[in-house]
Amino acid sequence: MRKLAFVAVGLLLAARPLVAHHAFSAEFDANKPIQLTGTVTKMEWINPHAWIHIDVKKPDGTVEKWMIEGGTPNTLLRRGFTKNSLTVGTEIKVDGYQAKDGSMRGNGRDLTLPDGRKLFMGSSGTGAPRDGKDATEPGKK
Amino acid sequence: MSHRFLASYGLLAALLAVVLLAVAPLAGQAPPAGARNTSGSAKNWTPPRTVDGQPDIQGVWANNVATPLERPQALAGKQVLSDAEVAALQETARQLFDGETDAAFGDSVFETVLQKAKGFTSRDAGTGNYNHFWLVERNFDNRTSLVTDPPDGRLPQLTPEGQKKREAARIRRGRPAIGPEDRGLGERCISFGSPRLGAGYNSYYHILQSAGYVAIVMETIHDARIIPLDGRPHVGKNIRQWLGDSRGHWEGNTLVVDTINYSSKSDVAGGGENAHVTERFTRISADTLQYEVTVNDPATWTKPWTAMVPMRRSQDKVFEFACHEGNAGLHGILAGARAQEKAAEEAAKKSSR
Repeated sequence: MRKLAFVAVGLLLAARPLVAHHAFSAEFDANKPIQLTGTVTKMEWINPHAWIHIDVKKPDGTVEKWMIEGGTPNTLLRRGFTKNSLTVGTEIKVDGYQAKDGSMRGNGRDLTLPDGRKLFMGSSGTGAPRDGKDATEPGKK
Repeated sequence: MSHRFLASYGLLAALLAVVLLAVAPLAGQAPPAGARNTSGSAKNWTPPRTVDGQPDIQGVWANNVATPLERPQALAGKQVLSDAEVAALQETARQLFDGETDAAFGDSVFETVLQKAKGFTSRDAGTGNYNHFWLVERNFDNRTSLVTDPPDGRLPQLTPEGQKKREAARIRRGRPAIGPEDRGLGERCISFGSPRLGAGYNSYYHILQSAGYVAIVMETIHDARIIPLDGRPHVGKNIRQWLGDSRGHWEGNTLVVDTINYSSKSDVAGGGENAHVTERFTRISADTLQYEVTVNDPATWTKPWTAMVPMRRSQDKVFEFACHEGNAGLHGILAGARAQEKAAEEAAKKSSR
């Protein structure tokens, strides 16, 4: 099924304007889901993809250093989110998939704070924070 | 919820930028197929002039329109949506793309909204990518395709050569990458191509004018096109360039740019090196730049086609993309492919023992 989907995507991509940077399925392994809890040590606010560095403490006390890939930072910057918005020491939970080469890198499909709030989340419409500037926002007159 | 989170970090108020200005809906501005600048606004609105007397199209323009490149089959024959239909689509988008879904790129926003498909899942083969919060909000207007000619809103048929080229690209991208050349130009941080019709992903363009040139700075990979306006001839046919060789001139309030001499490696909206591209930039209101592009590439398509994007003025800056410096993804793709090869070799050795 996944193979079929992949072929379909290939066909679509070839026929359409370039709209994303790269296919995560080429970099990450759909058979290696990861669930990590760690503390942020660095936020790399770079193109084409932002990287969040976290230290993940293992049950035996050792620490693994993971890098989590996000999207382009430009959009978040336009939303008012900067590299200082996610401060060092913040604990986050990551749901994603590990890199195909087995390194400690993954994509951050879902990033959650300890109290359950989603990190990059919450919007009216297709994404803007509820700041009153979005005409499509619920309750906006 | 997240607004509280953002606010809690104390940065929202100072830095929040208005991505899309609330501009009037584009109802009534869709030009008939193949038509040029026919909008009512254009007739009644005179663009300001630069100090050199040119129509002033300077500023940052964004393409965050949700309209798909080609008219979806479900809307065959329907060129224009009513204001009520547009409002309904925008409301559906608001409900479907609450930030928690996978990131929806390109035409998938419109398609998902049209189908009212809940819980959009990326077609990125199993892994997904990141959530939709990373992408800009898309704006719906009353059009059902960017393609205005052919009139059915669909790209013309590919030629046999065009089909062959597309199939080869599909194979290259579908297999574990042998080398970087197997991946697209964007993935390699070389170029997102020109003309670029992709919306909603760093689709910002900064236009600057001087007496003899127009410069168009693209946010993606900080590509810049510097277009002479003095009527000089194109460079020789042997000089092939990623973004081709462009020459511009004014026809009334419209900047017309002709581009040829693309490289065999260029991405010309899906076309190839011998494409002749004609772009028309017309500022039809203070906040709207009508961008129309005709691609004539007999090697790829059986006839020329034209698309139109209404770009919106943005108060944002264009940020430097600095793509190559941070392109860990390409390394990851290649390292992953090598790891897969190694695993396959070891498995083969084991089974032959």
